[in-house]
Amino acid sequence: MKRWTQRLLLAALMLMTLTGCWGREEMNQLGIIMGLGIDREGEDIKVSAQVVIPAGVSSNTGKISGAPVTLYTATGPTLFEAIQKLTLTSPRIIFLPHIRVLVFSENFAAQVGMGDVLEAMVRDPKVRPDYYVMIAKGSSAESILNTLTPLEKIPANKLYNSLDNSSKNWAPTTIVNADRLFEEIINSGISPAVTGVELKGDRKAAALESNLMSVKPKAWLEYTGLGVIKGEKLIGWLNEDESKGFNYIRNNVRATVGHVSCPSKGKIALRGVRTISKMKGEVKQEKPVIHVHVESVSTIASVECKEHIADAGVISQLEKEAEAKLISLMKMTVSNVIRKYKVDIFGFGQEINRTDPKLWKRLEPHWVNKLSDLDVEYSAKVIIKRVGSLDDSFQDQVKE
Amino acid sequence: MLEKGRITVRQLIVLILLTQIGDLILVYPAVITSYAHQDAWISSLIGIPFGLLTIWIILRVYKMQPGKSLIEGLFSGLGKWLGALVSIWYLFYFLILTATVTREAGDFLTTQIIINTPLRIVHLLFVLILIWAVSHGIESLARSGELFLPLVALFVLFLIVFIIPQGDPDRLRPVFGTGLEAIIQGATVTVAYPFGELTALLMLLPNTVQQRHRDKDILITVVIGSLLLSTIVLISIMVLGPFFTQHNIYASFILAQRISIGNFLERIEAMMATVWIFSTFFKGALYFYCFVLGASQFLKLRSYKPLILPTGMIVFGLATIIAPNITYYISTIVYYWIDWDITCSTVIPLFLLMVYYFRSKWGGNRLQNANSSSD
Repeated sequence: MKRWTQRLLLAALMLMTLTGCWGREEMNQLGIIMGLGIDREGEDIKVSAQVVIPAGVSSNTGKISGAPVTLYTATGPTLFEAIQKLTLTSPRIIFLPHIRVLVFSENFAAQVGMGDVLEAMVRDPKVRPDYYVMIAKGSSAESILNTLTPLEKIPANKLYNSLDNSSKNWAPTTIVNADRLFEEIINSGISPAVTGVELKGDRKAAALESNLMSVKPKAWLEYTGLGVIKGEKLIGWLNEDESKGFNYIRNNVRATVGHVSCPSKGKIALRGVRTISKMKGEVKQEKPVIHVHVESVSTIASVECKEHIADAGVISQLEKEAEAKLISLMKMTVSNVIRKYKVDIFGFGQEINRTDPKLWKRLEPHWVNKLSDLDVEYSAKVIIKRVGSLDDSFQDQVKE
Repeated sequence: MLEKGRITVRQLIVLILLTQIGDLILVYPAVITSYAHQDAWISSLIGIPFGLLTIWIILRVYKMQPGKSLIEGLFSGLGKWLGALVSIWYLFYFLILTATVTREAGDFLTTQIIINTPLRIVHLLFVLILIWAVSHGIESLARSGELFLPLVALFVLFLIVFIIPQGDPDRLRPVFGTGLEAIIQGATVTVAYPFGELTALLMLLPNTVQQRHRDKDILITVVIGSLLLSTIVLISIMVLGPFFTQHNIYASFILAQRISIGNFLERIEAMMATVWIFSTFFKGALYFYCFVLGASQFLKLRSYKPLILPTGMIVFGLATIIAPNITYYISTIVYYWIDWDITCSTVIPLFLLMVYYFRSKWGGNRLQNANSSSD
């Protein structure tokens, strides 16, 4: 008898270890946020959460009318108060860990600064820092997330994938992660630059399902140049060429396409297959010198002129020209950014710190003022390895 | 003899390795980086020879009193009163270490994974397993260590290999930029934590089968363990940068979160966390065992079994009251715990060595008798 009570007691005790679901969250009770928008409303933060409607994106329920996502907004003095207040409108608990994009409005980024929101996001233990941060150029963050997109049903996914692919294949764009951004905000030797996204077309049509019905959407989302951050605040934008130069200097370019002009007339397009940039600091007579070196392996994508590219001399001439173009692009970018914004988004200061920390200690307090006197030396090496599947262009055989 | 179980040298070094990795794989990068910033990996390497010295001292202490555990040795070496005093000091150290390790596991789980679960529930489960493990004696503990070590090692290697592609060596520059003082401060962390917390060796050695390669094996093992930790620090700085390594309390968990191989091998941090709980468990169990065994030797009991359940209860309570919140706890282990570890692993053993040496030279022949009785 006593044996049986003992066994029963043991079994009951073991039950305790089997519960294991103290903080369970059921899938069908969660509203999964894919995109989060941050706007300013007075002194408060206004969050817009793009939440997936599971039935809208599942593939086996056939075509369902209605938007695949919904947008909830709430306002609060801090980020997480506002997010928690979303429950006032949302039937489900807001679930943040699957966030793909964090969009700041231009207004918020320029006047309030991104630091506090980023801090909250990085501190949250559930959220992995693998989402992209961007700034809505010329519109609110809400209107960016309030746009339906074709091809990718979930607009936040569109933003994510689009930037992901663009950064790999097009020099002017780059990805910005929350923790990297956060690190650059606090590092004295470097200022961040953040991707800009723009809502183009007919803004009123953006949120309607009819936006998906036409072949060319009435409103669409497009990445533009990078936003320049000073401290934690947005102070201006780079244009496409400057963004390109910036990405070359910061080693953000992987593959891209550019062109050089032919000696005679027309253009030759070059496809950059691999690009590596290196920045090296050096101290010459107590003065810092920065060397920027870009190396690019390219192939010829198209020839629109009568040059004989089967000629080795022409190839090396093209290489020289592409190198010169790269160098002037980077020079232009650096001088423009320093003249217009007086910030070090290139990380020259960080490089000096890494080369000679003692010198950096002295330079650090007035670094932005010393930027314009900084000696930056550029070099580039373009290697054209292949010419595609044609040798000479048929341009010179085109009938008159 | 209180403990009838015998472990082989292989089982001993498995336990040492698990204790070294233990909770440190989670908190070590943050602690050492808060001193030496981007040079923390250098500190970690510089600390290794000094750490080896610590282990050598501990082994010497045992050689002076072979066949006797730390507590028994203290009594025969220092006499009744002083021996009792130092014994209590060590028993307290073992007890608090057990509670701290429990708290560490609890804090980690409730911070990163099971956020809504109360700390005490996690502690309860952890302590129940500790009680279960220790009540089966050192032999079972060592054998299960042999079972789990491959798993732990595999996942640590997983972490290192899969995160390396994201490393940026430029983040290590400026090398030696933080200054010699900071680097040496960082090195004391290495001496204190991965090596200094191995004082438990003195409780295990009497029950280890006598094998000639024992000392050499132990020294090789601690070098491997500390190199593993140094690698984690190095990679953590390369991937997360010195700022996030220092300010993320559980830097290697964040590292595991970052793993993303080809967009499909990702979000595997929960598996990593499980493995770290294993290693933390072994560290906790080892100190639990040391306390229970030491206390019963201190009280001259015939068996340590009756002490296990009450000790478990004390550990459960201590784990909660040891620190009011995680900030208190972190600031303690970063700044003050080092001193305690070094006192227990280096200062007192050195003092013991001196006493034993002088007593064997001038004093009575009690010690020589002890020497000839076993080993």
